[in-house]
Amino acid sequence: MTPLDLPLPIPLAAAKFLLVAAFLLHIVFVNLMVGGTLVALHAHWRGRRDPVMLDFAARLISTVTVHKSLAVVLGVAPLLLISVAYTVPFYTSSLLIAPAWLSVLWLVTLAFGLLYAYKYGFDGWHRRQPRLHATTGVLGGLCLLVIPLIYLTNTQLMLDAGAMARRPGFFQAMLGVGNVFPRYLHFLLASLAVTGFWVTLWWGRAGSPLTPAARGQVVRFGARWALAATGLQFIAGPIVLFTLPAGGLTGPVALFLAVGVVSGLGAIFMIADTLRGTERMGRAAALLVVTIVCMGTARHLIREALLQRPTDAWGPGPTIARIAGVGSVDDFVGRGRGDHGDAGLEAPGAAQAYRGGAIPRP
Amino acid sequence: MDFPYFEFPLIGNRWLIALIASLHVVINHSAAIGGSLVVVLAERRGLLTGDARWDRLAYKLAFAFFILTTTLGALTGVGIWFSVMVSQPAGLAALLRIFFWAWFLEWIVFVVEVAMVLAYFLSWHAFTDRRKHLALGWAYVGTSFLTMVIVTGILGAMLTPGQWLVDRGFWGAFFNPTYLPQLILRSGLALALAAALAQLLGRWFATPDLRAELDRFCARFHLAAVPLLAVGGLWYLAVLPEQVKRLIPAALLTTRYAAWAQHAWLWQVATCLALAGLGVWGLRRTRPWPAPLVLAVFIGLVGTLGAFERVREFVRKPYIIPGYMYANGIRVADVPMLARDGVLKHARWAGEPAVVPGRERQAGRAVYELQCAACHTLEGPNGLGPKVGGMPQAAIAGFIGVQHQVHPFMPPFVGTEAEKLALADYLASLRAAATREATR
Repeated sequence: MTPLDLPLPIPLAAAKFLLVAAFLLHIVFVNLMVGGTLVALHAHWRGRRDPVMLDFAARLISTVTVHKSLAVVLGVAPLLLISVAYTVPFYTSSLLIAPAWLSVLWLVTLAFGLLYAYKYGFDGWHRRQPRLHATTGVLGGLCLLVIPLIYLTNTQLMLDAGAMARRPGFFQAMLGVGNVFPRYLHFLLASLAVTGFWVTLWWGRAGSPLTPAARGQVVRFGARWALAATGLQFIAGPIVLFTLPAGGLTGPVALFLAVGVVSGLGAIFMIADTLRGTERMGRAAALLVVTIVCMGTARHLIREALLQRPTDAWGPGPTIARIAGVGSVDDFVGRGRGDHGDAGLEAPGAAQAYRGGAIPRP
Repeated sequence: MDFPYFEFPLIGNRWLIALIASLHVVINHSAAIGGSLVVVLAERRGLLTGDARWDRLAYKLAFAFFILTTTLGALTGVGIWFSVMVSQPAGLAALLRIFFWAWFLEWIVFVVEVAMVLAYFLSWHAFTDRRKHLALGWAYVGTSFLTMVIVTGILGAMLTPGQWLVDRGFWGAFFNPTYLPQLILRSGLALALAAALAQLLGRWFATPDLRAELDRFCARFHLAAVPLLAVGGLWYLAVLPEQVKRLIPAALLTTRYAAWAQHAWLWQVATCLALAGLGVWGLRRTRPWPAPLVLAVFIGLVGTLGAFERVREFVRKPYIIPGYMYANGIRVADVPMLARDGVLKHARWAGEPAVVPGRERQAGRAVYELQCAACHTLEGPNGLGPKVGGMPQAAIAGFIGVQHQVHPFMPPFVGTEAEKLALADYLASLRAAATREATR
């Protein structure tokens, strides 16, 4: 029994390619939305004694409400593509955490409402009720911080048929399945780094509306965020890697990660040059784009590898063994590929769409 | 059958979808599709007459529409997807495969629409050449309308799939028999709703003088909507299949009061006449419309749109995709196999793999989740407890066997005799449970 007897409307490989491309486009604006809010709140905090920073906080949050609209609309394509390419695992995990999954709707709506109030509050409200105005921004930011946890839990849970069969609730899945928190940290740092780059490039550009002095201050502020967050990724990245579920790290994944890391290192040197006075943020941003594409591709390859592994090979042990060089070649290419794929999914469309471990009957 | 079961607390899944979708459709028709036109024409009026008050009013309306569409409008749009995903995963999975490219194209148009509304609203004070800004506004109106042009094809196919049932082709499904009439009808509703919302907001945004002008300005939208509503609505009714038409009275006023709604076309004519009368009256009036009247017009139009959506969603029953899949996600082609083997055997997530002695009630509950919960709740809206709970098991089982004949909007029961009896046993226990609660 499956709803997937209808043919796939697009070749599976094309759907997956589009998924990666559309997701990267989406996640960059999500990064700018989440990171922009956090950095704006930081600027607002510093703005208590620094008028340049207060003015900058208002300018930055104005761009966040633009980025958030693009983040939402650009999220439709990945949702469509993941629904077509990974129907059964994605819908199953969504249903298992349905209350949390549905709460994304009110959380995002609430966050957007609060952030609009915060943005337009800089026009005068913040002078009359500064604490309430700032609290509104903080609450909007907090809502935005919760939402990625729900997405990460869902996309981790869908990769583990064995865990799904145990019917975990949202919190069980968030705490017990995959490596949600390391990836969350990775995402937050990426958001802050991308925002740091955006700040330096946008407000440091030739036609920037800021005065030269304010421009220099804001560029340094953005570059410091970019440097700190990108630098911290060199701690967060290995944590994500070492906590990857068994079977996630394959040869191609390692290759893309390595290119992404080298590119990220290059970006750090460029930012450091900028802070020393030599403007290199354009090149740094180009390298960051390479990093983002590599990381997005690696993320997809990890998903593919995990969907093809045996359902009982869950846990960090084998991954660590593999990194240490003691894993077998079979581990690298995905042991048992195809062995578990189509059980219970008779239709050809289903077999195409989901070659992962069959969900055992609970 | 392939997915876990989820039921939204208190209101059930059907009402969850209905609430989110209704909110979305009202915001989308009033503040985006029709609203973009109202704002652009208001700005144009300010430009042509040199009356700065109209430019300021247009900006305020644009601000309200912008906030509304980019928060609640956008999120309820995604919300329809989320809520259908957790309520009707099989149906959504099938629809996505049929209409993937329509949705993909819709996404591209959405991106352009959002870019346009951002550019149009946020650059309001940046343009010195107002005509260029107005051109941006017209582009926004065009993309906003295009979103409806695309999504109407998908919505129409869920009721009248037309040629798709024969060739499984995309174009046959997209340009289905109700496509064009529905598009015309929706256009009329969008115009009238946008005008009504602008009038409502005008109570806060405009001085009394300007408010009177705004009401006259909006009266033209109401008049323009009348022929679209009349032609689209009556054409829509005319192309509906006979068996579908028979369900309209129940869709409008539930089965209990269906006799009151035997002639749906009369409702349409009455709506058009009322709107035409208001439009003519409004054009001649020099004072603002009374606030209660403005509110009543807005509520009336929301009700009209709601009634249309309710009818459209209801009359496609017992299917989610006619001829292919029932409203509970069971494919028509699978019915013989499921009748032979039973549904529980093929339901991956059902707690009970079969009806076994001593666990009949648990099996009945599992059958309820598979076959009934897409439309019913236990004790909430459309609850089965109040409908059949407490009745003898044999009577319920007898009704289940012929439910699709008694109520043509219900799918047939699919499964073995043992599963039917187990379901009847479970349903019979519902009222008893409620009574126990009441007497506790």
